[in-house]
Amino acid sequence: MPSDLETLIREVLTEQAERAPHRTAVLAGMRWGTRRPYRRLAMVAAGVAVVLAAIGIPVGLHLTSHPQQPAIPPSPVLAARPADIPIPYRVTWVPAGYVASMRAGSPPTVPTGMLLQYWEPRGDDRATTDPSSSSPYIDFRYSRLASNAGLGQAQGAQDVSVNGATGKLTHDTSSRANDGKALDKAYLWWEPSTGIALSVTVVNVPDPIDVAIRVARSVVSGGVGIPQALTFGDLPANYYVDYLQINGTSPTDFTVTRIALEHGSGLSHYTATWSTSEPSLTHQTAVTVRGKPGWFGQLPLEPTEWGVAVKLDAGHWLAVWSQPPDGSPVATPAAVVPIANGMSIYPDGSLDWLGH
Amino acid sequence: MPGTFDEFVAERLDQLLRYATALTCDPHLAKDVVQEVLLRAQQHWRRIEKTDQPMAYVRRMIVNEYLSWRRRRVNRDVMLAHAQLTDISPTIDDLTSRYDERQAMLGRIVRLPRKQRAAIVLRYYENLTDQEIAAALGCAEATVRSYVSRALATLRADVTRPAPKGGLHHAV
Repeated sequence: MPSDLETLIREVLTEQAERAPHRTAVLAGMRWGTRRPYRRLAMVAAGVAVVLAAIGIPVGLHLTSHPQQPAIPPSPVLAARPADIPIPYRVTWVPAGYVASMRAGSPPTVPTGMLLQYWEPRGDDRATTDPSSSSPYIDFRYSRLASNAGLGQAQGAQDVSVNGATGKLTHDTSSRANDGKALDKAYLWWEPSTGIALSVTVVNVPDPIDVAIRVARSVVSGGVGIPQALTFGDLPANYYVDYLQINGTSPTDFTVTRIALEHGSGLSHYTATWSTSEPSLTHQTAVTVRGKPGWFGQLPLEPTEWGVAVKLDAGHWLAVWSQPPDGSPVATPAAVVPIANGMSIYPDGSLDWLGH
Repeated sequence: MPGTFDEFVAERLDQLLRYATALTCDPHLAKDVVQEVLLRAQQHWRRIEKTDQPMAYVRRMIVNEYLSWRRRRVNRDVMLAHAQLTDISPTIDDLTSRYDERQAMLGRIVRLPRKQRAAIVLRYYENLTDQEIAAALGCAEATVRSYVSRALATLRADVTRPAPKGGLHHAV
């Protein structure tokens, strides 16, 4: 017989399931996604690599797979930084005192990727580092997949004109952050052109509706990118580079995260961070990473994710860890150290926008 | 059992969306997760349909998508739709206290470590066995039992106890 606790858990989860979105929103999004076959994207990527090689731009900086010369590159590595991941739209107004605290997203070669930007009160990085925080933030999001099909599901949404498009605005004061505190959230979503959805979310900012509308109406085309300040070198076969996230309060207080996913199911990944803070991998075994003393360990609470970390010359930290493929044993130092040695870091001022 | 991908989606999409919403406690995130997983599943359907249980495979893809790094950023709050909760709540005398109880429980569920939370959803929403949960999470059955045990210990905690401080480790 189920206990009261189990009954309560089932009730809560069932209530949550009742809030599921309508299937039309997903089906509409999938129609956009199927317009971008992987084969075409792979050809584009291959073409770019050929062009770069032809004009002498190094596609990969480290020869980590050279059998006679183990790669121990200096750190950080100075080289030409790859082009930014473009964010096709740019916010030109946020309230006074709010500064950029995050840019994140997937490269254009990932058809389902989203692109995000965050602004938070100056000196406050809680929203982007603590998911349980109820601190204020403004979120601007670009999606190649979303469709207005889902907007019809939003109860009480109001039509709002956004630069010639009709947006849908909702205001929610019944949400809670994970810390239990109330959230005052305005959400405005519109399609500037077919197949593109933009959204502005304003949380716990004074006058959130007015702010959301003003931020949305300030959006113009082009001009912002996500700097590829951290890139993978050689990756095992069947992995592709996907997500990039940069968050922090300033160019001296940041974390850059890069993720490579397994093709197909995407269940397995390599994740790398370059940060001004020490990574949280447990200390299990001493290993040499990029010619420096580092360590091999496990991600807290993640028994299948193991990796390496090392302190770099500049006082920054590099960590690389992996979730192995289905049925495979957890990663070993031999598997992860070459990935860490192959990472390229670009400390060339590309993070100057943090905190501004 | 559905054969083609379209048949699978037609038959299973609503179920997947409900499952993803229970897992994420966020309908918007659930939509994104299911959409992305189905796009990948569509491209690899020949391989997936050869498995004994395509639904189990896709369910595992949803768990992993939820667990993946990129989604942590957007999974930062939980919306409590009062109207919806009220609509499906029984009209009993202790409605208010029961509502508060559920709200407190929801608050504790969303603060669970992600894999513990996934294990709880798979156990108490999907009603899976330890073996099935282990397959979905890609871990040993003993690990599943550990996840569930630790999660239940947390969920059993006094509702008046202050929520723990902190969130993501910087690199996690």
